[in-house]
Amino acid sequence: MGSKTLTPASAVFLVLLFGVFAVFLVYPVGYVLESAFYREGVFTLEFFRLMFTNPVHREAIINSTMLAITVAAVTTVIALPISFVMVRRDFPGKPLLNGLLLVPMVMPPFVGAVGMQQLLAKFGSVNLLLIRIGLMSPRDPFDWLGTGFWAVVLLSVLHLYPIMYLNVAAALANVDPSLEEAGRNMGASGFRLFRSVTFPLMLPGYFAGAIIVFIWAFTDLGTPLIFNYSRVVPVRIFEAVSDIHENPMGFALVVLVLAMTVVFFAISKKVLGSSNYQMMARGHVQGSSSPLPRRWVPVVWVSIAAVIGCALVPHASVVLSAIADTWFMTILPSSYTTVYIGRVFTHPLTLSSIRNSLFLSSLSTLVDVALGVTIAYFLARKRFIGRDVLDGLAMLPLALPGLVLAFGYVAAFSGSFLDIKRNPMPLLIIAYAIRRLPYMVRAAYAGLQQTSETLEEASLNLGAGPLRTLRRITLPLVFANIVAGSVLAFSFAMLEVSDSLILAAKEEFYPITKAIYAMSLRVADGPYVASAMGLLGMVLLATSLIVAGRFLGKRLGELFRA
Amino acid sequence: MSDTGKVTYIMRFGGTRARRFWSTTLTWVLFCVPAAVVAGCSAAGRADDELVILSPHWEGIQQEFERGFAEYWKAKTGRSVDITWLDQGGTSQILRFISSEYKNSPEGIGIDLMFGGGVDPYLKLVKDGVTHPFTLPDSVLKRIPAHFAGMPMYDSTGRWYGATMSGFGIVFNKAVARRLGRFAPHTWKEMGDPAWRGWIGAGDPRLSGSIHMAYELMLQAYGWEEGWKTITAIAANTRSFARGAAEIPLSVARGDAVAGMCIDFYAWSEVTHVGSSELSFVYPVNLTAVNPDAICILRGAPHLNLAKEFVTFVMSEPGQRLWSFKKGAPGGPLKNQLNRFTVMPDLYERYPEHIAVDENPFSWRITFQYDSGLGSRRWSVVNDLIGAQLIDSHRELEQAWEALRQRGMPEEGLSLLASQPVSPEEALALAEQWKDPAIRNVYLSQWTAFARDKYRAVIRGEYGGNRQYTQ
Amino acid sequence: MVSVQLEDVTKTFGSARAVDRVTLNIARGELFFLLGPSGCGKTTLLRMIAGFYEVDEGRILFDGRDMTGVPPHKRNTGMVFQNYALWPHLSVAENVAYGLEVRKVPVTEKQDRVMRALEMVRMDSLAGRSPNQLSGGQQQRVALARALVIEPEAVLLDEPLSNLDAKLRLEMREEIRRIHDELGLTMIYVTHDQKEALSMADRLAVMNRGRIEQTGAPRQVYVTPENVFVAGFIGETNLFPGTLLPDGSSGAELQVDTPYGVLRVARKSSTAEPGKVSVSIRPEAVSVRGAEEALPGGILRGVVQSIIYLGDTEQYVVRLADGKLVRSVEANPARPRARTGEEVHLTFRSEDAIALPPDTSNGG
Repeated sequence: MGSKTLTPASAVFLVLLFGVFAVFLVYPVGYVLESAFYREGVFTLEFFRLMFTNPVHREAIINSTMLAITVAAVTTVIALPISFVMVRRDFPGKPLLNGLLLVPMVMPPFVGAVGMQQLLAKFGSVNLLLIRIGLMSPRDPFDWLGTGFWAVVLLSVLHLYPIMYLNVAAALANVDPSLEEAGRNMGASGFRLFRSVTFPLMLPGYFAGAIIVFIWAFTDLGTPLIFNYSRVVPVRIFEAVSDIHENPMGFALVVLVLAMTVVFFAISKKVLGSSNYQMMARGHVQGSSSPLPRRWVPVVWVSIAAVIGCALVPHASVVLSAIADTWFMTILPSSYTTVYIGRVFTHPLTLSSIRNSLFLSSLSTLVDVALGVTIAYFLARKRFIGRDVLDGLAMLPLALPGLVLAFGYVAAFSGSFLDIKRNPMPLLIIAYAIRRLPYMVRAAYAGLQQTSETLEEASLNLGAGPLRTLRRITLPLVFANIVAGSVLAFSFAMLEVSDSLILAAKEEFYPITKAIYAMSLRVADGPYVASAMGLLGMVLLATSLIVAGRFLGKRLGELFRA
Repeated sequence: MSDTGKVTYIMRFGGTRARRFWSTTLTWVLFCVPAAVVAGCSAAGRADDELVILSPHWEGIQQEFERGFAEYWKAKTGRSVDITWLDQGGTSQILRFISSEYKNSPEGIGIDLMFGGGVDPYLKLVKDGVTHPFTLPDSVLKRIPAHFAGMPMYDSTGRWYGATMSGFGIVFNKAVARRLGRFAPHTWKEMGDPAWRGWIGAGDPRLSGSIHMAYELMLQAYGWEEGWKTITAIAANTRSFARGAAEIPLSVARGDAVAGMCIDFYAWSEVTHVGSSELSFVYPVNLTAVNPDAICILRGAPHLNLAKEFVTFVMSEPGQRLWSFKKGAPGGPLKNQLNRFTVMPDLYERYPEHIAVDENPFSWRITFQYDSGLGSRRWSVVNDLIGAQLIDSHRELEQAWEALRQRGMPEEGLSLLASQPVSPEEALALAEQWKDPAIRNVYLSQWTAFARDKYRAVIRGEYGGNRQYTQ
Repeated sequence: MVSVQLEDVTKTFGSARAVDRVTLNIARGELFFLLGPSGCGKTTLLRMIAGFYEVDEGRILFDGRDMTGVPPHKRNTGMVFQNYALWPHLSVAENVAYGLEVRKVPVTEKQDRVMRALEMVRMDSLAGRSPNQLSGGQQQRVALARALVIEPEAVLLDEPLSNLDAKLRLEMREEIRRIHDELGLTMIYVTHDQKEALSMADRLAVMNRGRIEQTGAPRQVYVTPENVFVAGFIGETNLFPGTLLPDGSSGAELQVDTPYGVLRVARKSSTAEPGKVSVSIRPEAVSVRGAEEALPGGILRGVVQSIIYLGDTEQYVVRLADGKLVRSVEANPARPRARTGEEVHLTFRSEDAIALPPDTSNGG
């Protein structure tokens, strides 16, 4: 403890930690790599050749890339001006808008997609409204969903712009105002100042946000599935899961995704040139904000409110679907009911899924707390060989899409006692835990960094052993961080999409997200019950974020940054 | 208060974070443990008797029959019964599971019954000899016809019984058709009318067995060549291919499609939900099949007597009422209206007011006979033909379709559009080698290329060439 | 209470020797100071005594018991940290009670002892406060109480007063000295403040670059520093490089030949050899006089460069012919002894001069 060197007990612990990572992170990824590059023991690039020559796969890769670029571009266009106004200008109601801008994040976009189908169908609410006010011919309603591309873009953008906003705003706030003043002093102003001074300075932060958004959009499975947009990489991978032992194409696609994310994160690391943790410790440089001219206040308000309004349409559609009694080819439901919300708690599938999700998320959160606090403790308090490796492993899941991890698990543990066809619960818990581990490590590490080591030494000095010191002093002191980290880990585990869709192979083990997906494909009340579950999820996540915000305060936003 | 007392007070009640930390941690654990326990042991109190059933039926059916049988058994013997429903995924997974389990323990696999999944799996189970023969009491058996439309309704030796029936047809949205100023399609051919471009609901047969059945039905009902023309036209009118059978009625009900292929009970459920005034379902007469959906006792059933009682319950009037009656009707389902056919023809006549579905298959005149042997043998080949030519090349198909539409649908062009790289005989022969992924992949890329070639030829208006593969 | 012995204790961080073959004997009940500039290794040494660092070479003994391999929580020392290290999540009383809880002291006795410890540092009225609500001096007292309440074998204080303002520092010095005397504790006190050390210590050790330069009672170290570093670190001094002449006929007095003439010196440090030496004369021993009033030590000629009047003392800076500056402090300066720019004579008594080994660091 007080000494930075390892005691034998902690060395054993450390070896165990590395063991966990080896089995549940390195091995599955290695297995995927091996399966993609080796056919009967011989190295081959055949599958990659096939991937780029087979028109179906090529189309999927092109579509996914276009999708991700479009989403990143549109979120940039939305987030950049908002960030500028929010960081550099003061106006009445700014804190309120600042909070509201983040609200769209409380629902995974695929849930929104369930509700949006009702709105965007050819005789859905939007077209019916346009027909009603005479802007559209009833004989030729516009097909908003089309192939599904723009629908996926829309839902992804509305969900992801807050993440882009958080990153850009942070980058902007960290641009030292004196540098801009220097630029202004040299005679630059307006766009020129932005282009030549501000933008280059905030580029690393922007880049980090753009990469998160790009990878998120590239690897999102739920939304394309709901909109039936099958010609994208994640859906191809999802389909490859069922014949994982017969067709190695799935491995090749997974390797493609993996390579892409690793390269992007490596670039962002290079550009940012700093450790992952820095953000938690970094103080907020107070950017110079000047009052917004009075006549601009209404313009800014209306524009930002419009963005928030649009972003909340999917949420509204989910709420409406959850309480709609009959909604057949009318703009709004013609009557309302709470039956579907009630059914969430009585239907065997939804009920068991809530139980499963609570169980899975609680356990994965406990695993996260145990692993995350231990890792953070080692990183913050000990010096040992392999420290950088442990740091890298703990942060790796950030660059590892759920899709890749889940596919690796299915492949690597098939036939073992962890096979998802027997019982996917253990792998689901581990997948959730590994995926959200970086949040926990970050939160706990920040807490430990802020807690002086002498507080622990004082306890040792007074005769308390290392364990008692941990229990009585260290843990209580980083309590707020642990709570915040675990609330986040818990709520995101509850709403984990890709891993759940792939890993939960049997209905009795479905977590909420997969149950929402399955329900949305049921006839009759299916989509309505699915929406009611989505509503429940929204309430849950919103509550969790508020609780986490209580503990973390302003630092909450930092968890969503790279 | 003395000084010492003050310190005691402070140390005991000091609102300090250490205590809050541990109490919160404790709360977490207390919260997690019950969650774990609840999730862990779903089987609570032990019942007098138990039954293990393997079934792909959805939980609505499971719920109704579990409740119905429990009441029946309580009334008959005064004993309670607990049913364990095993879920191994879709029908094909269930079959794989059963055969591998019997390989391990030929005496019995600890499961009493298999319930649902159509009739084809039961033919295979009989062939494998893993069903336990059981003859229903005469009073029950005499109310069920032995055959329907050429298909046996139950095995003559009692190795399986058709518990209900299901068939394919077209679900359509009258409101959409009305707004578009047309009548909704009622036959497979009408779904291929180019005027419905982008308005038809169809699915990917590779992802759903029941969608596959719809295509196979068309191929058998119309014959190979005409069948492909119909399927191609429907595919050309489809905007995007559904991943599951239920997506089609949902998209029709949403107003995203005017009509789509659908298995009857999905359509009836959606019709019941939305209301029959705007949403309807029709069987294209003589161009579809209604097949039994069976139940059987498995060899070495651990609770053989109770299993027999369950089959008897399902096949007798109380069970048949659950399938076919409206929710809340006397003897009908309580929570979920199942919208399925009864196999007891007299129920249609005796309780027309209670029957949920407005069709009585026993009143139809049917000449078309579905060959389920042929269908199951060429299953994968047909799927891959549809996949390679119609789904994976869908954009090209749509362009060719539009080109033909502008030229007034020339017959030659339509023939080329629907021309196939293989004859039905070749398709059947290929089915034998289809397990070899190498061979399969070669054909798949050939077919994709073939499809794109023919669509490009159609777009250019060169209808003569590129027929070298066809018979 | 224990005695603490350090035998050839060495600690290396990377390639840097933080503590280099330190040998010390600290007696029971002694208030012992480790004094040195920052980075001299004094805190490292203290942390080794507490057990936070392992000893690379040598041994640390408590009453003759070898402490090698004994973890910090089994050494029964009471440490007061520079930043106090009070646990913000525990109240003042709980902070103090912590060590007793660890020792499973019965509840009533525990309360009693906590109260007495708080009384001793005059913090009993604030027992229920959170440490965040206390001032720096109050936190310091609580930290002290927390270390004392466990009746440690030795109390270790790591620059305990460095974060306090000057007035409070003076107050706490007396406080700590009082507590030490009352309880008769073995205390090891680390500081870089020579006034603190001189005013409080029973004995002190001056450290530099990981080594002990000199150990002794404050007066002894001040009056007879062993070398130039000690002379310079403890108080101010004027150094005159020169050559120690072999013992002459003049009995006890030594003669050092310097560029400013031969200076008579009463003593030399044990390490000073005939040959090159530095003569150290404290400013307060240097008098500004007329030539006719020469003291036995010798006479230096120079010009007054500046005079700083401080009320109780007056400081003169006098420039010698070769430009060397010499400081002189006159106590009780009723009248100025010279004016700026005036040529003066500087003189001293030979008892106040000491010959030290030559300054090898930087010419001085």
